[in-house]
This record gives sequence, C-alpha cells and structure tokens, in this order.
Amino acid sequence: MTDPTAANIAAAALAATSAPSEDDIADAMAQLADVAGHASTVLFNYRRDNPGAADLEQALNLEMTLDKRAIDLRVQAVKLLGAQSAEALAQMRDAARKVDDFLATIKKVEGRLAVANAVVCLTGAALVGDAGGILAAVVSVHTALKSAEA
Amino acid sequence: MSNRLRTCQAPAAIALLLLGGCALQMQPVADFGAAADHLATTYKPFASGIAASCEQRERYVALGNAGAFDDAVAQRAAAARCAPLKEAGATAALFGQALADYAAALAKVSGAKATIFDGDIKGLSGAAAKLEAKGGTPIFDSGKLSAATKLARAAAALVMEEKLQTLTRATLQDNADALRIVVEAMKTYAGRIYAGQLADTHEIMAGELRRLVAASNAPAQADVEARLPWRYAQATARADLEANELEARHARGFAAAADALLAAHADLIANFDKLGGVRRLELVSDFVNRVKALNDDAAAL
Repeated sequence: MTDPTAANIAAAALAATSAPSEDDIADAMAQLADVAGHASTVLFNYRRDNPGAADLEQALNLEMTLDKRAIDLRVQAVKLLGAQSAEALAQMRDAARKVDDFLATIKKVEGRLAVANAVVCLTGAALVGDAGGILAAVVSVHTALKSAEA
Repeated sequence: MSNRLRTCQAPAAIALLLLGGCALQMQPVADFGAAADHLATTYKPFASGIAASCEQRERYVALGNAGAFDDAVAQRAAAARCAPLKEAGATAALFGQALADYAAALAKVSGAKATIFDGDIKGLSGAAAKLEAKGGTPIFDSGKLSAATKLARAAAALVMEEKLQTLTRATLQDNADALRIVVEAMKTYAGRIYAGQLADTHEIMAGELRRLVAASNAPAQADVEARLPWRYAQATARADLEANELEARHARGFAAAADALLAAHADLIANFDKLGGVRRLELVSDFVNRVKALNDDAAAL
C-alpha cells in the first residue's frame, strides 16, 4: 500500500462530508466544519511528518483552504442557530420585561402603602390604648392596597 | 393586654404563617431561577472561547510552518483569521443572555415578597418614635404598633403574593417553548460547534506535543543541553492541552445540565399548584446539583 498524498487526504475528507439535511442544518454545518477541521489537521500532520514530500505546497494550500472552510462553516452554523431562535429569544426577553414592568407597579403600590402606614401611625396615636383602633388602621391599609391594585 | 389586642394579634400570626408558607412555596422557583442564572454564567465563556480556541490552533500551526517566525505576527494573523468566530461568539452569547434575563426575572418574581415592604416598615417605625415622645408623654403603645405593623405587612404581602404567583405560573407556562428553543440552541453551540473547535485545536496541539516529546530525546548526555528548549516547551503544550480538555468536558457537561433545566422547568409547571411546605421538587434539585457540579468543575479552570 502506497503512502497517502495530500490529494488523497483531501479527497477522503470531501468524500466523508455529506449535504446538510433540512431537519437540522446548524448541526449538520457543525459536523461539516468538524470534517473540514479534521482534514486540515491531517494535512498539517502530513506536512510536519513528511518534510521531504513532493506535494508539500499543495498540502499547505489545501490545509489552509480547509481551515478557512471550517471557520466559515462554524460561523454559518451559529448564524443559523441565531436565525432559528430569533423568535424565541425575543419572547424570552419580552417575558423578562413583563416581570420588570410588573415589579415596577409593585413599587407604585408601595408608595400608596406608605400613605396607609401614615394612617396607621395617626390612628394609633389618636387611639392610645385602643387596640380596636389599631385594627381599624390595619383594615385601612388593606383597603388602600386594594385601591392601588385597581 | 386587652382582649381586642389579642384578637388583633391572632390574625397577624396566622397571616405571617401563611406568608411564610408562600415564601417556601415559591422556593423551587427561586432555586430554579438562581441555578438557571448560574448555568447562563457557565455558558458565558463558551461564547468568547470559540475565537480564543481558534487563535490558539492557528498559533500552533504557525509554529510548525516553514519560513521566518515572529510570535507577535503569528498572533495577529491568528486573530485576523479567527475574527469571524469572534462575531459568531457574540451571537452565541445572546442565548446565554436570554436565559440569564429569564432566570433573573423568575428569581425576582419569586423573591420579591421578602423585601418589598421593608422600606414602609422602617418609615412607620420612625414616625412612631416621633409620636411617642411628643410632649414628653408616651402617647403610643409600641407593642400595639408592632402588632398592627405585622398584620399590615402580612395582609399587604398576601395580596401581592397572589399576584406574584399568578405571574410566575403564567411566565413559566408562556415561555416553556421559547426556553426549549433557546436552550437547544445553547446545547448545539456548546456541544457541537464550540466542542468541534476545541477538538480541532486539541488535535493540532496533541500532534505538536508528540513531536516535542520525540525531539526531546537525547541519545547521549552530551545531547541533553540542545534538547532543553523542547523539554521545557512540553510543559506549556501539556498545560494548553489540559485546559482544552477541561473546557471540552465542560462544554459536553453543559448538555446534561441544559436537559435538566428543561426537565426542571416542566416539573415546575406541572407541580406549581401542588408545591407546599419545605418540599423541594426533585427535578429542580437535580438541576441545581448539576449546575453546582458544572460550576465546581469550571472553577478548576
């Protein structure tokens, strides 16, 4: 068996690649990138381990092309993931915003509660020793909160 | 103590117990939010890591090329070649950001009740102190004020609790599909794209280390001096390889934690109405533990 040449290695790498299926293009792109990257490495090792080979220049050119192809395919795979997930990303951001908006309304409620708290103080002061007065003030807090929610 | 005050304090105690129960009820949501945020933090380095790994590979390749070699030039060339991956990494970071935002929202909405009313209570205490000293005569019974404060706080918090729980349940239900899509994208990025880049880099570095070991062989004592650079260089190459392997393990482990996140999210939705007491959801606990393990491993980097 003869030693493989750079052309043999590149041909084997290309034969190992398959067209991405429509079901999971990003994943297939990543797989293709792996094949290109691996073939590039095999060619690099070929150059390093066979410094006297006649096709070194061809090996280097193919290696650089495959290396660049691996980068491009990975970039493309990420772009596809982003495109496929764009709607979901937007929805999750919207969910986070809704919670923030809701919590902002709670702060407004807090402001109204402060008014109710003042009522508790004043009522309590006016009705020293009268626990029923305090209870009434508590009811007013609850009422104030309800109205703040409305 | 008057009977009326006792009447006032009893519902206060009940309300506080209920409030405490609600806080526990939301605990799995808070735990989920915190763990999901940690998972997003774990994912974050993956986004910038792909370009860094690519550059590392290019630098190792440059070391093995014929011709002149200048490390700074090699570094610049590597950065230029891998620049598109830097941009792709920024896109990949969006997935983690979306998860972090969602996690933060859930943590906020589940934990908000604990601190919402603190400011009002402090304000109330201050006002009471002023009233108390008016004219040098105590005109306000601080014990009664305390009871009223507790009840007011509990009553208000219970109303808010109801709203918060409704929002939390709706948030969980509405975003289940979006979360799944985003988390699957994160898994593909981490487990396929990033891991693929790491494997490419590993392969180049492993080959170079093998050559360094071969070049380090000194047939005679007289040959040792000349081999010292190769021998010293092995340590750097080995450290680079180990860091790469740890990162790859990390990227692979991410998928299991991501699956646990989706399972825990579904578990939260399915059992939201059944949560109670100190019971922790098994799948949420499992998710939390997986993220902890992942972060412990990351800390070793």
